[in-house]
Amino acid sequence: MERLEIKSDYENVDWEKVIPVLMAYAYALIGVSNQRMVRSREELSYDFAIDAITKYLNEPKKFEPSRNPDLIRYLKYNILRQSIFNAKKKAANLNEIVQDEKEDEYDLEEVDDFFAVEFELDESIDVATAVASIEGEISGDEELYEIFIGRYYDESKRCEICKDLNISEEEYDNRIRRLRRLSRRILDSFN
Amino acid sequence: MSTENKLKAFKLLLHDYAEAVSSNQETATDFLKKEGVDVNRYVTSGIKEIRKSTFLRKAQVNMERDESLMEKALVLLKQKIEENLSLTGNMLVGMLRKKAPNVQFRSLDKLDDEEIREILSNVDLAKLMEELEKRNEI
Repeated sequence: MERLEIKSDYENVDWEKVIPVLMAYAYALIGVSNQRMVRSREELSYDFAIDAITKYLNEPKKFEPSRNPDLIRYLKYNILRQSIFNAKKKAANLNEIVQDEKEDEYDLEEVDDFFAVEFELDESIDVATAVASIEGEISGDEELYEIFIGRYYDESKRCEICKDLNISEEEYDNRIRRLRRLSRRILDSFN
Repeated sequence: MSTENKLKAFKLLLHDYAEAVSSNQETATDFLKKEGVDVNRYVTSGIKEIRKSTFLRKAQVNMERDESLMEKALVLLKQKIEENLSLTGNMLVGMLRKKAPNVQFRSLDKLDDEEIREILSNVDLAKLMEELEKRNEI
């Protein structure tokens, strides 16, 4: 199954296809550590998804196809993720001024790195030990290990890993899901 | 791998996972359903919200356009009245009668701004301005 991309005909978007995609993306990012937020995880996912779409519809000119023509990427990276990040910061009562309209500052090509630096994690997790445990757990699983090394040691991008390993993006996603399930089990054991 | 890089790796894993479960409609729907989410209910509700937002946005744009046209028409009519061009004035009254047949017109020079606005509120301003432009009256 191909990735959903919208690179033209922006006036006639099939939002029925987009809503589940944005909801799933938000659901995964929100994670399980959202106890300090008022609404449930699925309600929040819905709120963030619709908020991203309506923000775009209200100010469509902020989306610049010349930078990257994929509207889905814009909605995920430039609006939705920033909204979740801001909400998590607010929920955590951090004494920082959270700006709602920062998306213009981001370079879409650098967004992976930005996300890795900025996203909040549950502070109770000993990340170093957790990652070491994940690595140890998958060292015997060649399919997961080569993805892990490529992505997290070599910091290769998704497309580069797919090319190096000669696998499809769908296969890459399957392995990431497996990796996540495994890491979830390990993280749960830390709590 | 340093602790800092491990942190980065972990965050990237979360990011990659979010991408993997939301790659397209089918994958995303399957993922959400497995999490116990009633996807259809949210999609139906979402479409309604998007339509409502789109409608309100269009209404806002129309209102702003109408206000802009109203002010432009008001300035134009006042200008013609001040110029005391009876031919132009008669022509405008004639045009306004066609556009707003239910409105009673007095002499244009006796109307204040609010009365002119009231008359113009019954007129398709875009068409009126278009006709005036055709007649080279602006």
